[in-house]
Amino acid sequence: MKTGGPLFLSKKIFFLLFLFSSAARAEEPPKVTLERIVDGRGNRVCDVAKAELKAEGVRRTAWVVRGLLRSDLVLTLEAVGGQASLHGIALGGRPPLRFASPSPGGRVTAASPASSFKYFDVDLSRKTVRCNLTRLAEEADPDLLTAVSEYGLLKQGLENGSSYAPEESPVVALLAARKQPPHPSPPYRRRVPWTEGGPDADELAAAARAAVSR
Amino acid sequence: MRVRGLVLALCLASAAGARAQEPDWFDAFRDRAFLQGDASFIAREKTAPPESSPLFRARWVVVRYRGFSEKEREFWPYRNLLLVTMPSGSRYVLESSYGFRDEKHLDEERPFDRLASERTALEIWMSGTAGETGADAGPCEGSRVRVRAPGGSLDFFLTELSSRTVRATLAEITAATFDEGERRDLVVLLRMSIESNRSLGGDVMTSNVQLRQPLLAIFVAFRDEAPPVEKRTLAFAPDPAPPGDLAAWRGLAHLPLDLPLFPATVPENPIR
Repeated sequence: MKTGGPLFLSKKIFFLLFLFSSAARAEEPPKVTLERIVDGRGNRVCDVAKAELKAEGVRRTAWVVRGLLRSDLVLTLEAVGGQASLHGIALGGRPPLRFASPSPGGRVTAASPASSFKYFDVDLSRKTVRCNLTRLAEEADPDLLTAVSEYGLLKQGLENGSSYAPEESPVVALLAARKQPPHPSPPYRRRVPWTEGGPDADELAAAARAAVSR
Repeated sequence: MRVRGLVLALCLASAAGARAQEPDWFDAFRDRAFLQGDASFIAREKTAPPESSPLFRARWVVVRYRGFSEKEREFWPYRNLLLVTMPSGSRYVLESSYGFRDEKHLDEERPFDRLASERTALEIWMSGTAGETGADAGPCEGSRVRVRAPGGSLDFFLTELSSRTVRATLAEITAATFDEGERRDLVVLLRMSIESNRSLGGDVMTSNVQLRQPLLAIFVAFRDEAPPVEKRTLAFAPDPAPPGDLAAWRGLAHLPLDLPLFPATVPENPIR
């Protein structure tokens, strides 16, 4: 359902997540892992920082992808047990597109800052869902769909690129909405450990910590 | 104080702007109007004896608008209306209409179906064309509809009316738009059998103006409650009672004050 007012996500899900995430914030600092994605010659394509917080049944994660696009691509997830989840996708500090789900397979509420739409995952390939999701993405950020396509291409080039982590589910939904055919020969990409540290690494880790604590 | 006034003015201007963006259903029906069809029916179970009380009464009214020249008469806009009165006296207007259409801007929304009670209304608007479905077509291309009602709005493709996503959202919109009594009345109309049909006949356009079309609004809005075809056991029979003055419906159905009968030909106005 589209609404003209502010976010119209399930109040119960938000209330639960609010309670749990407040508890999570009070715990230890988030754990951050860094990785670098390079091309066939070993040249850097982008860096990814993954931050995670766990407390009292709620798990919060944030991925910050830097260097792939002009702005950071930020993917966030708050999951309560194995049930309710709240995903977010945003470019830099711009408005996110959020996806709230009361349970796996339940009715998902997607919301931009301007309106929202509810759907079942089973209908993700239908034009009604695809049309509404692309509209919401454009309302949230006009560059978001292009960013998702770039990220999708990056995934295609990686080994095991077809498997997506739970944090990446907004990307999966928006790629389905765009229904782009797979690239016939996606550029080769691989993950390498990034352990040497340095100011760039510190800065990226700080961005991921900030995103997970937000 | 001045700042507060400024903020209030901005809020009012913003609210007025938001309202102005919503299209008005009746803007698509302008110019001179004529009454092209008027017939009254009673609805009963197919198996009910003729003397049994009707489940509701329905007056089928077709209003035609002189949108173009006499030569293009068959394309004149029309409103195909079913004016329903329940035994309780509650009244509803079901409408399937073809409004003024600018062929150069087919992607603009145009009136399709409308369902009004004496308290509220649910409108279904159509946009796009069925031809826009090539391999490169975007997800929003093609003929799609938008439901607008106080209980919410939804953009969807009619071909996906049966999907879980569309049905669940329409059920929420109707529940938030119509009250319990209205919903109980409207669900009765879902039991209408539409196998026998009547049309105005005449030209190509009026042959498509059919009695069953206004019922489509009910079948879209209350899709989740529509019974299977074999349980649609109500049928229309001619109403022997005199139809009464249409003026009683003027407000609820937005009928024009002056509604002469549709003439065989309408002389062109030389001044236009």
